[in-house]
Amino acid sequence: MQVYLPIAELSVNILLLVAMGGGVGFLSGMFGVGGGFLMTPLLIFTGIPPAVAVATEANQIVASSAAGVGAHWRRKAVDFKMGGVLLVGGLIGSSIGIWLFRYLRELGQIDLIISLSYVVFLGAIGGLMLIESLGAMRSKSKGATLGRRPGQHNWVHGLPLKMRFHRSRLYISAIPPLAIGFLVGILASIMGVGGGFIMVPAMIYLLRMPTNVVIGTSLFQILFVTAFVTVLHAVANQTVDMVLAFFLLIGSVVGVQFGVRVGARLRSEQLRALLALLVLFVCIRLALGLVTEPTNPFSLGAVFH
Amino acid sequence: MTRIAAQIICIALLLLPGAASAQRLVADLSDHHISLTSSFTGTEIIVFGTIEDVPARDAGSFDIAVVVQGPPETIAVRRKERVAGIWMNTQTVEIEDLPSFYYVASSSPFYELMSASRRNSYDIGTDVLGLPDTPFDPAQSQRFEQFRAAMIGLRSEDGLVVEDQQGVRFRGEQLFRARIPIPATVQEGTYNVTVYLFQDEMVIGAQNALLTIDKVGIEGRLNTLAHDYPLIYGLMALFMALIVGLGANFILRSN
Repeated sequence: MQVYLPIAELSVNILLLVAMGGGVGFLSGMFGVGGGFLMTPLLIFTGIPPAVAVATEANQIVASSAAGVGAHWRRKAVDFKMGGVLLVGGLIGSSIGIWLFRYLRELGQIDLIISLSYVVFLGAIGGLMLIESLGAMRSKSKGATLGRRPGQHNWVHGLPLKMRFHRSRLYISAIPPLAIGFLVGILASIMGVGGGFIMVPAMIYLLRMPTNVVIGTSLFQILFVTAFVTVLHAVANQTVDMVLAFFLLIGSVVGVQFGVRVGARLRSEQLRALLALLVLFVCIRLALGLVTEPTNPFSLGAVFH
Repeated sequence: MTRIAAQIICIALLLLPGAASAQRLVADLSDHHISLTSSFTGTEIIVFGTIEDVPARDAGSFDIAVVVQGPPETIAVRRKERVAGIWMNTQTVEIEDLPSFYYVASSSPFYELMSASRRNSYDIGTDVLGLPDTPFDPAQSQRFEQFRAAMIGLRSEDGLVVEDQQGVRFRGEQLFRARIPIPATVQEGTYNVTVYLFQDEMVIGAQNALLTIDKVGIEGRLNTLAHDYPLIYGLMALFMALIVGLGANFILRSN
């Protein structure tokens, strides 16, 4: 059963798309991560143009974060004020990101920059996760506990523009959350990811937010930033493929449910080591694509004026 | 567009009474309209025609060329080179006014006998496809030619550039026909089909026909919407995602 993707301009099997959505949904449910950083490379491997993969992935994340934020909202696990500050940074960052995306597309370098960003981020995250999970596995088998040293983040408290965040029970400067939101906004528009993998650790270790509001608050920011990015990509680049996003979503809403159930039964260190290996595998696959000689060095592209 | 206007003037001049000798070219297409549905995998259009009122002494001395050109566009041809171990696009050449689809066929390889500059004014031959109307300086042209040849190679692989020097078949001395393969990757728009009548490598008659290619079905409409009303399309994409996301949330909560 083939479907024609109107923006990617190619025909793809519907079952393949649903299976991809389901597979990445399953992994994101199992590991508790957003699937953007796995789905975008997978789409690129399938032959979807990278620029379309990124913008469509932003569209898909709108749905998954909308589904997630509702649950956290009901549990009052969203700090709307903190979310709002992160969002302001995110909107500024994603606007600049979209402008950069369009500029790189005109230069014919966007595909390269997307792949390079993925290689760098997946390599760093996969590597860190692997080291951390292997360390945790080793210390567990030795029976020792590896204490985490409290970080030296006093400079965060010395910054001006202090604001009170009631739900997070914090009185800190608005500059760090603005900067975090800004960085995540740029990543959302150029890589088609929600950015939770950067935002969540930054909120815990840098802002010292209580862990119970971190996920809900980051989903709140991701929902609005990816919504904004989707519309901006549609307007500036015309690269959002609604049909592609739809079939991926159908698979992922089901896949997430199974992933959550399976994940609850597995040990977390092994799970994280598995995810780390998967992330590194995707990273290496992308990197190989950049260094192997193309069969034809020439390619055709559209001209934007 | 100026090139097409110039061609129309050329053709109009040819069609003026008295401009050509007694014989007359009559040609048409098997179909003037193609719908691109989601299951479109390519099709074929037949160009057919006849040369009427041929004086007995001229019988068999004619040649036919058929040229089909899709809507013109400007494209960038890029070349990758290894930079610090990574293959990246380093050079770009833009080709303006290039038909998105190009087909040329003739009844014999006669047109190689014509000079490239004369064929360029009629757009006959892939060796003149994408060449500017006015020649530019030779230092530039070598690089341009390299990129232009690469473009022809890439487009030929997709069936978007086709040259067939035996593609026009005569049945007897007057009836002729040619098959135009339309690949799955064609763009929508108005395609210009021109049939040229030659005698001794000289154009002595021409006839024009239009072929319209439309996108139909929901995918086709979405593509048109995405390009013509991007804001509405973007909001629709957003709305779709919110419905699916919140819908899934609602269903799973009730479980």
